[in-house]
Amino acid sequence: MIVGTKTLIRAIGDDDLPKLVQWRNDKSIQQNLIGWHFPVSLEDEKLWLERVRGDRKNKRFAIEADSGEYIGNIGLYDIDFINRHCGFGIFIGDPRYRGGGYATDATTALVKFAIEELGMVRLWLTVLATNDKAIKLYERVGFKLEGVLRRQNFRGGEYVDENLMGLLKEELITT
Amino acid sequence: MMQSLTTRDRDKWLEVIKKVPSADCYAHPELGKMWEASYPYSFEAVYAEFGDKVIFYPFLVRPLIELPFGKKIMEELGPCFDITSPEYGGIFHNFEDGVPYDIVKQFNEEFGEFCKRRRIVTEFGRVQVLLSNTNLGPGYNVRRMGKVVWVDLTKTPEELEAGMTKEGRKKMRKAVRDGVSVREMGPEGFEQFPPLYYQTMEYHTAAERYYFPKSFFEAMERMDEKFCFILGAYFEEKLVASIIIIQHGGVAYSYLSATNRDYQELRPNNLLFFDMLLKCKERGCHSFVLGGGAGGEDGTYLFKLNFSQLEKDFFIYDRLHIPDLYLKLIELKTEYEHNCSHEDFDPQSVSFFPIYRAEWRPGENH
Repeated sequence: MIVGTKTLIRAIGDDDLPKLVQWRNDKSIQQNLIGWHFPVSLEDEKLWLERVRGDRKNKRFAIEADSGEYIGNIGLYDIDFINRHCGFGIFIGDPRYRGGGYATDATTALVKFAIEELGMVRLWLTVLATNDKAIKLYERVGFKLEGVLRRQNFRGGEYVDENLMGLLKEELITT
Repeated sequence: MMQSLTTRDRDKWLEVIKKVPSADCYAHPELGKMWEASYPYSFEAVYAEFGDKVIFYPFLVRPLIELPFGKKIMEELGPCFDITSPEYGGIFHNFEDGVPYDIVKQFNEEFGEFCKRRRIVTEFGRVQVLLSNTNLGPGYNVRRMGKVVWVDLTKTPEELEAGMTKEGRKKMRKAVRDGVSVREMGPEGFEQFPPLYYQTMEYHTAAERYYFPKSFFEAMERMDEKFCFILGAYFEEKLVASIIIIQHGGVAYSYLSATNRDYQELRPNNLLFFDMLLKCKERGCHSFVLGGGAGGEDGTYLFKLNFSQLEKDFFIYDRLHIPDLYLKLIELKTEYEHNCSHEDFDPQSVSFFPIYRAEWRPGENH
């Protein structure tokens, strides 16, 4: 387990799946995430979890708040141990835990882990250019805008840019 | 200006480390004996002096021809080497407030040049845990790898016993009641140790690299008794557990240990470890590093916590000296693994450094 100040990052368990199905089908969450989202069932999520458990390059985890509740997912993607970089992603599914510093805390803890224990020298992520709250969160942790993928996503009837952000190991802000 | 040493320069080596009180057995040329006698390795060191201040860095140089695809490396790339620490290591120094950054940087650059000249492709090491000197300068990647347990031997024997867990003390007393006794073994100990050790490694299904050849133990027998000694736990005059200890500069380490599983119920290790601490205290050591577990806070780690609850973060470091050769070595490793029917070998997903030395077990996370 990776421990933050107000969150704990642990493996995703079978018991977490019902909540995850609910979040994956929630339009308000989907609209801020990159990619195309089809409706999913509990069976789909079980298969997904089976698949990701054996995945060496992509590691997904559950975020647990200090209350003990499962509140969202976080992960490292495309881990490359030759070049020592990986992608990063997070979403807080439970709306009661948005805006309370939980995402910042979990992001800081996992990025710190990736740098200090996995030896990554760079982390990167992409975020919808319209998702101001997420961009501010990533900037708070130390991510910097590296480029813009123009009209990369089609959202609500229009094309939206996607920001590419990166963080070098010496840029992590932990306070 | 950085200078280099090999174990043939023993007198100079000893003269330099005499100035560095923190230099322990991992910085001592005596350690080279066991590695150089059994492997094609050379134990070397580099150092730089700044008036009465010294930076000292010992390391093992390994030729890559020892790898399973070493012949191919020789054919395609010529002789290549890498560096590792002999268990623990890193930089030892006698600067009171740490080595100033500009000095670390200069030392670091000169060492980089040294490695390039010698065709040393990569460097990997484990930082001496009591010093935790992670200030290695640019180019180094330092990672935390869990924790280790250590014992403060400045305490009295009574305090050491009181510092054990209740369960640990209980098991130790049970071993005494059941007739287990511990004594220092003579040179014969290094002959009796290997069979018991190999049995222990088999029980733990240990990786091949832990099966040290007999010559390794024979070399230990030839080492200075002040530096390396062996203890045995006996039951009815039968050796049931044993441990090899190395020490220098006031710090002692349990180097290798072995147990006869048939006598496990007697709990000889609890008594053996406690007596080992007392022996090292008698020999003037102020600290004992028990080390960590085989994989995080496992049974081995919990066993060690029975003797002390003092823990230290454990760091590893690595540095890439010749990137072009490193990438070529990864290509050769990938080719080799694929030829061994390990089609799923994917170097990008191997967290072990250097990747070309990873032991690939299909289906496992690496």
